[in-house]
Amino acid sequence: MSARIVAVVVPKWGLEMTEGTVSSWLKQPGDMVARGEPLIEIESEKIVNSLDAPAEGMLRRILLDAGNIAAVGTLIGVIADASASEDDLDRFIRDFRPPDTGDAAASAAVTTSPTTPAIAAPTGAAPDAGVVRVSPPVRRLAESLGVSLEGLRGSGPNGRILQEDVERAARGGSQDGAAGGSAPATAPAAATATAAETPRLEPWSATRRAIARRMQDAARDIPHFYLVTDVDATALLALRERLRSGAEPPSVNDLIVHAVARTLLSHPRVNAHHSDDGSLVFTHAHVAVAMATPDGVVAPVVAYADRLPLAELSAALRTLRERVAQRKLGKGDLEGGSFTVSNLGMYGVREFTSIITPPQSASLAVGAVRKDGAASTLALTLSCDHRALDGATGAAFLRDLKQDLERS
Amino acid sequence: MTIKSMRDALNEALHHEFERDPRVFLIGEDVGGFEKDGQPVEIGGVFGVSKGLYRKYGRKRVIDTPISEAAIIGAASGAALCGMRPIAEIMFADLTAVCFDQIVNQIAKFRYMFGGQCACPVVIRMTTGGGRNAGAQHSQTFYPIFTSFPGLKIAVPSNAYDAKGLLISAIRDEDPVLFFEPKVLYTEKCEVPDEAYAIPFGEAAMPREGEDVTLVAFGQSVNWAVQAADELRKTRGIRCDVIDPRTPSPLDEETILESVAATGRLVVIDESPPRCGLTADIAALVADKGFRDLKAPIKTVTAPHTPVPQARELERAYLPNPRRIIAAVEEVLA
Amino acid sequence: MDHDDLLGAYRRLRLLREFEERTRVEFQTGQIAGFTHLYAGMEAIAVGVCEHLTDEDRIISTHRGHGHCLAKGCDPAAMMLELWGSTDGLCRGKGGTMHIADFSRGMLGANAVVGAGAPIAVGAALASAMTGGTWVAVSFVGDGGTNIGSVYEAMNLAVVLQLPKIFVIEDNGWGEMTPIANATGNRDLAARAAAMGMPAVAVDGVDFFAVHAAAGEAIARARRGGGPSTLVASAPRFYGHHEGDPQLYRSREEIADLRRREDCLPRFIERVTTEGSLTAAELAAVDADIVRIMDDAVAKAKAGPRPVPGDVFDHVYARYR
Repeated sequence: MSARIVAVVVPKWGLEMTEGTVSSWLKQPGDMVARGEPLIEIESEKIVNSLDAPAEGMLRRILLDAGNIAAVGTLIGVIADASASEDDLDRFIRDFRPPDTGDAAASAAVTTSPTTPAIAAPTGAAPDAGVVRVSPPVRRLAESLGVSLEGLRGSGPNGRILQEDVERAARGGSQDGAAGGSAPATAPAAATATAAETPRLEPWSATRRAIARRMQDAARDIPHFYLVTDVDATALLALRERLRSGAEPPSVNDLIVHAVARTLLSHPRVNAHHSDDGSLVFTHAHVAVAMATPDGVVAPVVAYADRLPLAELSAALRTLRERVAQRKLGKGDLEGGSFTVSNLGMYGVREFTSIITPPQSASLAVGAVRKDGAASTLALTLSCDHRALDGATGAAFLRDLKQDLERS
Repeated sequence: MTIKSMRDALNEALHHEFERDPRVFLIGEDVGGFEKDGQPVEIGGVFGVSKGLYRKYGRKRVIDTPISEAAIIGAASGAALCGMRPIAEIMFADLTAVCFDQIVNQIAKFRYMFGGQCACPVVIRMTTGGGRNAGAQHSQTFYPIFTSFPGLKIAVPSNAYDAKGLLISAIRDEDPVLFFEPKVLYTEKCEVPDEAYAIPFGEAAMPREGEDVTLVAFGQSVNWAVQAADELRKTRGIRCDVIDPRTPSPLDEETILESVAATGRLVVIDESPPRCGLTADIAALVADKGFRDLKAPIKTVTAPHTPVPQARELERAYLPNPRRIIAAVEEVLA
Repeated sequence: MDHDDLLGAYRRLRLLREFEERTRVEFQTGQIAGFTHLYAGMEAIAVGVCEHLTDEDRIISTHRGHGHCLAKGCDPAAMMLELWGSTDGLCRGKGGTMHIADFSRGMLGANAVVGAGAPIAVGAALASAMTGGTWVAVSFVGDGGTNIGSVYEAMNLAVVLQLPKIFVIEDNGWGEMTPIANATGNRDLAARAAAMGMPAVAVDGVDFFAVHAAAGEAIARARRGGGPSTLVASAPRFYGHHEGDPQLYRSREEIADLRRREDCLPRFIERVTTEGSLTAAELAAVDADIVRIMDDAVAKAKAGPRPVPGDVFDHVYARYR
């Protein structure tokens, strides 16, 4: 790091102060100063007060001697530590620019802007020849009655189209006698607008809002691409059958999450968070599993899922599902996921794509098991962040996952 | 469609919006009710505008408060910042003076000074204007003052139909709305649809049309202007455009300027005192943007520069009336 | 509090202090327009309270609001950009020092009208109660603000409606430049709040642990549906009312003495190192990190994009029709 050089400038004490007079320096060049230690007495129009040193170091230069006046922001001294060379100081002084404290330019510019902006819609309403003369309320009435003003002859002064002209045209056009203009004159227009049913508003829940913000950001910021593969599910289903006799047998999804956790270990780029500076790679798999709730989808995390034997993983997922159902998820349950699995197989969805949960780099969408004679198949779709992963990187993960599942 | 009073029209608007949007609630003095011996006792507002809401929705959404205007407005705005849709009731517009800071320094500024991070969709309902001999502290209009504050929207209905549609728009609006209900008009009736409907802000109504003179009026003054226009047409054959801007902010400048372009003559009417008010504002607008259309000097009809008096004779002399409007029209036609 | 909590609390105390020290230096260069009010000396109050809060809990602060913003999690660089009036500031340069807000952090704004935040925070608490939330709303008001009528309107309404609302009164002994003895009839500020009908306690606002314990109790009570509370915490104001206030009403010696005896940071450090819960090395690492964060914040603020005159029309209404 280069030497730290700190400017001492004429301070701005309060709104009105524009310049200050140096009454006296309380330190001399070469003196060490502590931050906050009185350094110099400065006199403004109102008061004499001492200016504290803005930083710790040696007072190296005094640029304005006592008795002189300078504008607020003027460089009057330099503090630096011993490592700054005289050349460094010269350069610092040469390059120093006092801040722009005057607002003259900006205020001059702003006065050229309109005082009543868009509100003053095109008010150059003074009508020219050839322009349809009609008051805005009558124009709105015509719109609501479906009457075109083009070619309509106004009976008012200079051909101004009046409410009665519009109503006459509406009657003539449709012969069904549109509502007459009883007081208040505005009633017909708005009454027409009431025919449609007013839908009831269901306000967004906090969860829904959070999902919306996250998904919108993800869909906008992450260049997604998708890889789809079919997995022969025969072995997977056979395994599930074998385990069915247990007290709390694992679901197909549990088996998939288990395989995902194992496979992630050898694909660090897939099991990673994205950052501007690089991929934040995890050594263990922390698998978030999407679960539906009435408020919206949540994805609680099984941390260190790769360390858990199948039975324990299955139990962990069951506990999370119960917590979700009882709305007892803690903030910690939702944090730290390195990869997400969503499964819509139970709804019979054949295959689908998921939006990646930032800052994760990929997510897996699991479809339904399809039976075709003796064969059972399910589709896996991997969503990848193209900033972090290329097609081959994602495909290698998907291939290994497929092999793992087919071997089960 | 049936004939309804402005009180009933406003009440319907509140019921529609309570039903439509669970975030809507009402907070103010005497707006709801209380329990006595396990039975609900409803107050329903000093003017009866919120009747039936307490019985239907209970204290959770119809909140009676102490007589603490700053706390009422603060509570409404804070809830609005957290996603609710509060309707605050201040019994008389005059009492906004007690919570002026909360309205003009807080609510009006939140969106702007926080750089667009938030909305503050509060509706503040209040009664306005003279005609009930309520004296100097319960008869003022106050809508001209608030119109001068950017960040606020201002609505002043002149009839039951507009009252319902404007209140529904106000409640659905993303910005704070000050809603002024002329207390004299609560019993005035006209046709009002049973369903919910919204009247957009910034669109003037024109209850009468004519090529000779433009009359612009606000709140209950609109009715005096209509009476004057009907009288002039019947007895003298003079035809007037009567413009009711309905929302002083945002203002439908276009309708006013278009009308003046057609008539060349302008009379502006409001029951507020003359200085720094809406009459001066509209006159300035036309002088600024429509001067070359004018065939005669602009006239205004207002209350005098005095507090609102209490005695019947004095208040009658204080408020504008059709006779004074007719005199002003004759002057601009002379 | 466990080790990580203590280190986190220290980190925020140090961040609040350093932010104000840097703001002071940068303000004096004239680069920051307007005027500013520094929170230095009172950090243990904001941090002691906000350590209990999540992003869902709402707070409203005062004109002396930098500390509350940082304690609630606002980004120091985005705050510094706001002080500079940059369009990258938290309020796009529209708010400045006295109106910093970050709604994503539950920070509903610093407020330049003394006492005005109390009734608004009551509304936030009302929204929590109406929607069945467990979050609370906290307003910070100074001892000067306790002489504003609407603060008592707010307290009464919060008691009547039994809302999850905490009134934190920061007693630094000065209402702008007037000492509290000349402004406040009953010096017992907790008693004034208790008279409104709610629990109210007074603690030493220099002692982070005292504030933290008392705030924890009040906030837990509010979350349980136990209604509002008031917490009075006294701590010194190391600088003047506003930056540039020459403080002719008190001597330099008096201020130096306050810094010696009533500084929450050494007080915190002494306790955690004596107890052995944090080491000097850990604290030094935090200090260095905070200096880096503030260097970065100031650099970003100086380089931040500037507004153009047309921006003046943005955000007046949802749509400026």
